[in-house]
Amino acid sequence: MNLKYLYVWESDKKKNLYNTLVKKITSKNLDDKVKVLSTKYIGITGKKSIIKIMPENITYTNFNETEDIDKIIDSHFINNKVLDEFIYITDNKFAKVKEKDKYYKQLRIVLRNSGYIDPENINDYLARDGYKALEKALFKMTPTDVIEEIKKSGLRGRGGAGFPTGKKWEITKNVQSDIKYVVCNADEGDPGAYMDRSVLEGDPYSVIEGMTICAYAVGAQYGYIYVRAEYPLAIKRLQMAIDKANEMGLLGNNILNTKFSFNIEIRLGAGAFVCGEETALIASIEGKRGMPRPRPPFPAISGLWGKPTVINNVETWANIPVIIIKGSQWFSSIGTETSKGTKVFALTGKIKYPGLIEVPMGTTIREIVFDIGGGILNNKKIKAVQTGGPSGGVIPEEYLDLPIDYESLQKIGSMMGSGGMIVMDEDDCMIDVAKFYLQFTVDESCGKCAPCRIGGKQLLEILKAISSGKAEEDDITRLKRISFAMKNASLCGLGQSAPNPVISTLKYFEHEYIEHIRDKKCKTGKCKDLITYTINQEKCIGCGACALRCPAGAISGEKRKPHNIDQLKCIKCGECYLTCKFNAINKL
Amino acid sequence: MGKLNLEQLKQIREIVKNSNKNEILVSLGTCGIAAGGDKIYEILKQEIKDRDLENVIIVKKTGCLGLCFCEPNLVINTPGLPETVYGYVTEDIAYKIITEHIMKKNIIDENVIFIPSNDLISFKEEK
Repeated sequence: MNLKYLYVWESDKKKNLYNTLVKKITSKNLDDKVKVLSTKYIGITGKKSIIKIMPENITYTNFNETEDIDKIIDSHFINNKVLDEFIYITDNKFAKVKEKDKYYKQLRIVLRNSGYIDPENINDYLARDGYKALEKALFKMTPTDVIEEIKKSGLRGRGGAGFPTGKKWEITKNVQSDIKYVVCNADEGDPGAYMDRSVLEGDPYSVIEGMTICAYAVGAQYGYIYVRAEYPLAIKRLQMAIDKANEMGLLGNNILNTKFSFNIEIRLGAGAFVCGEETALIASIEGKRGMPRPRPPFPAISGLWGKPTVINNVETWANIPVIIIKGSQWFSSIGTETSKGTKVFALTGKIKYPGLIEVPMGTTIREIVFDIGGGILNNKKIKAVQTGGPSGGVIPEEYLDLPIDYESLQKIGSMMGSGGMIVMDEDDCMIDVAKFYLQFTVDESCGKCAPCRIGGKQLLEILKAISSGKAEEDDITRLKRISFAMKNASLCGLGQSAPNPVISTLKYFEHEYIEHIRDKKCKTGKCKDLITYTINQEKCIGCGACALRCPAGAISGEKRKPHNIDQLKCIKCGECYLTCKFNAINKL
Repeated sequence: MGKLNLEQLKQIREIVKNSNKNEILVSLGTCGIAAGGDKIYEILKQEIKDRDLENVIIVKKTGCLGLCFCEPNLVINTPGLPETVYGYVTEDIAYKIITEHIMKKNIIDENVIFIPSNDLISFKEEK
C-alpha cells in the first residue's frame, strides 16, 4: 500500500488548516490513501501556511486556505496531477541554482553528510560516495588537471578573505621545493560561529579527503590540521578518522597502492584568537609564540618551516571532493558572478529558528532571516544583522535585500568572515555591540604592533565612556581617526579589521551614538549606567516583593505604602523591574 | 581491514551501500549532546536491547543536522517509509519511534521536521 503523507505547517498554533484538511480527506474517502500530519518546521517559513506531500516531496504554498484546498486535494490525490500553480519555488533573483534545487532555499554541499553518517565509521562515508573524488584524482587526473578544475570552479577561501583556492594551490605547486605542506585551519574563534566544529564533528573524512587531493595536486607530503583545543569531540573524531584512513591505505604511505604518500597530524591550538591568522598559525605549529609576521612572502611560497604551504579553512576543504566529482562547471553554475558555490552560516541571535544553514551565494539576508530563520523572536522589529564576527560589521535593515557574496558585503562595510550571522532586534544597543566586539579583540590582540595594541584599547575606552554617559561629541571624531589608523597601520588581519564593528555601527547608527553622548540616554536599556529605575508612586501597592529581591538593599518603604529606590545604592540590575507584577517600576 | 587498492575500495563501497536495515541516526555533535541527545541515544539503545531487536534496528551517532532550534534530532530510515527527521525528541517520542514508527510504520504526528535543502546524497558526475 502506497500511503501518502500530507504535512501541514501553520504560522500560528490554531491548527485551522490541519483540521480542515483532516475533514476534507475523510469526506473524500481518501483516509486509506492519505495521512495528514502537522509539523513544526517544514524547511521554509513564511506568513502563509505551507503543506508538503511525501514521498513525492512537493511543497505547496500561497493557496487560499478555504477555496483552493479542494483543488489541491482533487488534483494531487485523485487525478494524480501536480498542481504547478501553488508549487513552492524560491524566487531568488541573484543566486543561480540548478532546476531541481529551486524548490529549496538551502543547498547543502559542505554539510552534505553531516547528520547522516556516523563520523566514527568510515563505511558510512564510503556509502555516500566517500573517497570517490580521491579515486578520480589519483587515477584519472594529473596534478595539473586537479588544479585547473579547482581554478575553473571559482572556489574562494571560506575563511573569510576569499582568495581564489585554485590560484593558491598553483602558486605552491610551481615553487620548487623538496618538502611541501598542506594545512587545515580549524582554529574557529569568532563569537557565535560554529560551522567548522560542526563539519569536523559530522563529516571529518571530507576534510581529510580534500586535503589529500590537494597534497596530490601540489606535491605535498605532510599535512597538519590545526584545531583549537576547546573542540574535544571534533579532535577525537578527527583523530579516529585519520587513524582509520591510515589503516585502510587511504592516507599514509602509498595511498591506494600508488606512489603517492601523504600523512596528516593534528595540532592543537591553545585558544588564542590570533592563531586563526595564517602566519600566526604557522608560528604556532612550529612551536613558537602565535604571532603574525608581515606578508609577503605568503605562506603559499614560504610557510611552515620556510617551505611552500597551502592553508585553507575547514569549509574550503570540504568543498573539494564535490568539485572533483561533479566538475567545475557544475560548481561554478551555482552562486553569483564573483562568488561561486555555497556558504555555511551559523544563524543565531534573536531569531525563531536558529541553526546551521548552507545557502547558495547570492541569497539575500532577508531570505536567510525570514524564509529560513522564521523572522524575529516575539514578533519584534529587526534592527541589524552582524556578519563576520569581530572583523565584520553590522548590516542595517535597509540592506537586507543585498545578495550575499564577498564583494557585496565588503562594499557595505561588513565581510563574509568565517560565517557567523547574528540577528539583532530593536532591543539591542549598537554601542553595546561595538563594545562587545572591541573587548574581544582587545583581549585577543597579541600586542606585537602598536596600532592594534594601543588603538584597540583606546577605542574600547571611548566606547565605555559613551555607554556610561561620560563622553563628549568630539569622541566620535576620535573613534573615526583611531579606526582609520588601525585599519591602515596594523600588521595583520586582526588589527586591520578590529575597528570594523565601530566603523559600521557609526556609519549606520550614528544617531544612537549621539543620543548616548548628548542626551545621555540608551533607548534599549542595555547601557546600565544610563538607566534609572524609579517607582511609580501611584501604581505601587507596597507589596514589598521588589525590596525582597533587591540585592543591594536599595528599596525601602512601609508595608502597603508606595516604596522608593535609593539611587545611590541602586546597582541597576533590573531585578525589581522583572519582579514587579503591577508595572510600577519605571525604567528610563 | 588492511590497506586497500582501488578495486577493493570499490568493492567495499558497493557492499556498504546496499544495506537495507532500520536505522536510527541520533544527531550527536557537541550541540546535540548539550541538548540531551546522548540521553535519547542511551534510551534507544536500552529499549532495543530489552526488546531483543539488536539485529533489526541499528542506532548510530552522527553529527549536526543544522537544526539547532529543535534538538535533539533523529533521522529514521526504515523500509516502506520515506526518510524522516524528528525534532524536539523527548523520552516519550524516543519510545514511540521504536514502537510506532519502525514496528508499525506509523509516522508520529507533530514532531516531524524537514531539512530545508535538496541534499547531495549520492553525487553523480554532471556533464
